[in-house]
Amino acid sequence: MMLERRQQSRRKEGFTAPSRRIPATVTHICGLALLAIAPGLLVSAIVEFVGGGDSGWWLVACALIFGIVGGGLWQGTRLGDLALRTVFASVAWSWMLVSVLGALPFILARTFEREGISRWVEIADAVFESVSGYTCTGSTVLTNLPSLNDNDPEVGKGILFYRQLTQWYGGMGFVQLVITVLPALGSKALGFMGAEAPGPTADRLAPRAADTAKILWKLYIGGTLAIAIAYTAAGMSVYDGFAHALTTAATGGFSTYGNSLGEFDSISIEVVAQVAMLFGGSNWALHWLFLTKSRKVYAQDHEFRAYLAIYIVCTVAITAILTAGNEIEGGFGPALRSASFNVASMASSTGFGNAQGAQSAGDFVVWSSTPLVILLLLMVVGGMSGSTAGGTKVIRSRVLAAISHRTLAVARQPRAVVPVKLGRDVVPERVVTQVSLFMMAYSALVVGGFMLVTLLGGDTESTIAGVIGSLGNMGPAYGDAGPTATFQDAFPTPARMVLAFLMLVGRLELFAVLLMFAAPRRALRRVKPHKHTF
Amino acid sequence: MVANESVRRSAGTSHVLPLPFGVGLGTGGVCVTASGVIGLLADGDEFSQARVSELILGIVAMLAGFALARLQSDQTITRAAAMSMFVAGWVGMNAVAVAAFWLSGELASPLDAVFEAVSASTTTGYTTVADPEQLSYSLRFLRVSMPWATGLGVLLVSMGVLPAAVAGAELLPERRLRGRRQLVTTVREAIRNILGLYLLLTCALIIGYLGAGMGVFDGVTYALSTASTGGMANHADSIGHFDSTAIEWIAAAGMVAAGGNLLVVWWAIRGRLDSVWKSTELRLYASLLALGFLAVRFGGSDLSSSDAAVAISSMLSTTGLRSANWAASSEFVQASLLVAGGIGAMSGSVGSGFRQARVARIALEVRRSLQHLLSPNRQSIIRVDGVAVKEESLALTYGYLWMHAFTLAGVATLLYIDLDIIGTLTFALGLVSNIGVLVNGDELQSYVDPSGWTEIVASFGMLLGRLSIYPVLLTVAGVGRWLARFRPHRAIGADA
Repeated sequence: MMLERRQQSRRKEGFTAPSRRIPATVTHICGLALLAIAPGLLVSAIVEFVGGGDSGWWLVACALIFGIVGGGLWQGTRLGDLALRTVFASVAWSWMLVSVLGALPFILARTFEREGISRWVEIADAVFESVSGYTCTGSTVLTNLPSLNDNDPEVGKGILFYRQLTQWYGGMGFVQLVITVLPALGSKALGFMGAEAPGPTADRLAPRAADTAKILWKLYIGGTLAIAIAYTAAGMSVYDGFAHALTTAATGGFSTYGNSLGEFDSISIEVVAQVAMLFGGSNWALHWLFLTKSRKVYAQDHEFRAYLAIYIVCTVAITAILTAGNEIEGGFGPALRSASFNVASMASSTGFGNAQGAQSAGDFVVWSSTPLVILLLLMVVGGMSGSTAGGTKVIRSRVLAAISHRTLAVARQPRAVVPVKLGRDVVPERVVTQVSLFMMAYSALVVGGFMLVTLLGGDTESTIAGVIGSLGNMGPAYGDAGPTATFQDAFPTPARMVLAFLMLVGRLELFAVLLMFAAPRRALRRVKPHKHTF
Repeated sequence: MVANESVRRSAGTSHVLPLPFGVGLGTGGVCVTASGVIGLLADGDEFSQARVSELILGIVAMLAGFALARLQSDQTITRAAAMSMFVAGWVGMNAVAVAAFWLSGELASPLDAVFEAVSASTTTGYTTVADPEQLSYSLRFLRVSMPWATGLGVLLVSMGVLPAAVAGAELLPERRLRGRRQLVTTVREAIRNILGLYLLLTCALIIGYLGAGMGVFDGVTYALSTASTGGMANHADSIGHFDSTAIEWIAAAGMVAAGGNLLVVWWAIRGRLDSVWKSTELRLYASLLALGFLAVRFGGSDLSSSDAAVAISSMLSTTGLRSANWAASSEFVQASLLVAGGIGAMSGSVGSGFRQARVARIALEVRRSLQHLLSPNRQSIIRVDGVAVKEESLALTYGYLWMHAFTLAGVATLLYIDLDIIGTLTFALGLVSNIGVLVNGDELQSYVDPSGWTEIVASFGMLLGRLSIYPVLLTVAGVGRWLARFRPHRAIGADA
């Protein structure tokens, strides 16, 4: 009784008992991230059991492993240093850990087993698929995906559902999910959000960052359910509707079928997908503001206007080229269908395809070069900041255009002080510098990745789109890695590993991954015994 | 800086353009006249009528140019006007060349003549002629004399002698260019020094080529083409036609020299090797040449050492001469060479591309930003050639990078040509970087068969690349403003 009273009085005075947990921010965040994946694995196990697959127990085992390891890391540590480099490192390491360990269900279920390959290649394929999933890229090496009428699929529904879930987790970001249960982060939570959020800055929808994260996750869940209902209404089964909604909202692009959405050959499903992809590729904060504050937010947002303008202009241009060049059988209608779908897919960085097979209308690798150049540029630009989409983001392209305009003005009048402007708003110089640096690092990674992947055996055509697509988390590439093929056909295993790394770098917008070794190195340096000096 | 001294601020721009236009016209006239004379001597009776008309055209252009050049204006020159002057000079030269190409009757259409003239005068090297050996001597000489003249103009501009140096002004090595016994002291001496060095390189190449077994005409034309980084060849296989290792090594050495900074060459001649080795850009250029050579030689190709040397020096200097078909080599070799072509030559050289100096600055900036992320309190400055670079100058470099990227993307999108995606992208890169080769499947070629639309886009792309984008855009904007003067004004209260 006395002890309890003393503890209460100490608490009132602001004293807390010293924690036995080790202060290790990176490990703490990694543990929570792993723990967050466990429920998804359990849901996938249920789907596998219901669907009659034989990998259900492997999924349960994985859920336990994730839960135990994640829980252990979480409970054994506490938040420590919250410097910027530690924040970046925490986010990057948690993504790295989840992406690599996320391959475990595929490895245990032998999803990538096929004749003539070693166990190591199988593991590498599983890791590639997992990284591609969590980063919402959508590039696949899975060659035995079923068709709609396949009664005896090689891959179970639960495993495929888990594959879809990886993208859903990655879409909004599981570090953002972690923030919602870590009130101790306080104001530093915004730093974590910024390190993971796509775009130059993280939007703030509530005074506390944790509340912002909660709002975004609620919106994300609501948006996913709405897309699932729309898909089901358009003709998909409930399973397909939910499975595809997970990857549409996340702008990931994984499908449970080999021909992606082309398997359904349904205009209504493609229309739903297009609207949903564009919805996912736009800023989720805008959706929240639309629902809660003003109906005019879309029209007032200059980035959204540019995003929509890009979609319309590119669709019109590609449709005109395909129609004029008789590149698609059937003329204007099928050309518009293929053009609008693929432009939406690339502009939102989703990567769904609507081709019913190789050489069919939606298989853009057989189009002439100009539409392919346009799609390649869309891969670079990507979606809006604050969305689930990849790419360098529309806002950055706008800032770059404004910088170019300023440079021209300064070249004309060297003494003029010309601010960088977006519409009527002046962009702060700090943001201008950040955007420039980001794009420089991005360009360097594209060039470096291009050289490295070609050195490892990728062909030029597949590699150029493969590298840009991986950095922008797109999905399909060109050449042998087109929308009706897999990356297995186009790239050797080491090249695929490089692409997987680029996917992670692209998802975390470069700097987090580039700095991921900085915090642990400093921590190790602190552990190193100091020499006594006399 | 000589350029900055001569650039004074004023509102008037309308009367300064006849002078550079006249100089361009006169230069074009000299090239056409020289080609006409060579044609009369070498082409025989078959082309004599065309040659005479060429001679007349050349002489008329020279006279007109001389007359216009005398129309000096008292008006001071603004920076924008200086850029427009550069464009005006270039337009003047091309006007004569297009007329000469078209009057020769050897090209299929007027747009082909425009494309050929622009390709030559921008030192690009693309051609619409499948077999250049079928062309008259006169036209073959015109195709290499124009880039040589442009090369001289580019050197004068990039060394800050002409006011249009503002096109790449941020790259000028300010503290090292001026002073006693330097390359640029007075305009007259600067022109003499630059012309001397340029002629020295050209003569050395002529002697080298002749010594290695080329005929007189080929020796002279290939030397002009190499020294100017023009890349126009007399043969469909370019210098691969001769199948001579000695010629290939001479060409490689010539292209390396042409793609190098003239100031560095000047320092080397003056024996200031300490300054030479301090040059950040030179170290980058040398490193890229060495790495590129190793990548091409040992990265999965069956090219000989001389072929590898030609390939990397041709791409890095943006010349575009070919001795072997590296498009049939491994993907890594192709990737290395395409990246080299994108980077381009050193600043202060005849070559084009994004420029080594800018790449060095950007690499240093990326390194600085990463260091800043690791240690946010750390403040550091970027030094090039041991001299701190001003932040405003860096901002201009970044601005130019994005303008270059937008130009490349725009040109690649607007080209409508029967090539695959790699062919189209390499064509666009070759246009904006003024390289003049493209990868078409397993073939490396300078020959293109574009539609009229593509010829217009391609010509504009070559011009943007050669003139470092700003002058062309500012001139277009200036023309737009000038045209707007003629728009009828609505009286205030007219609606009422």
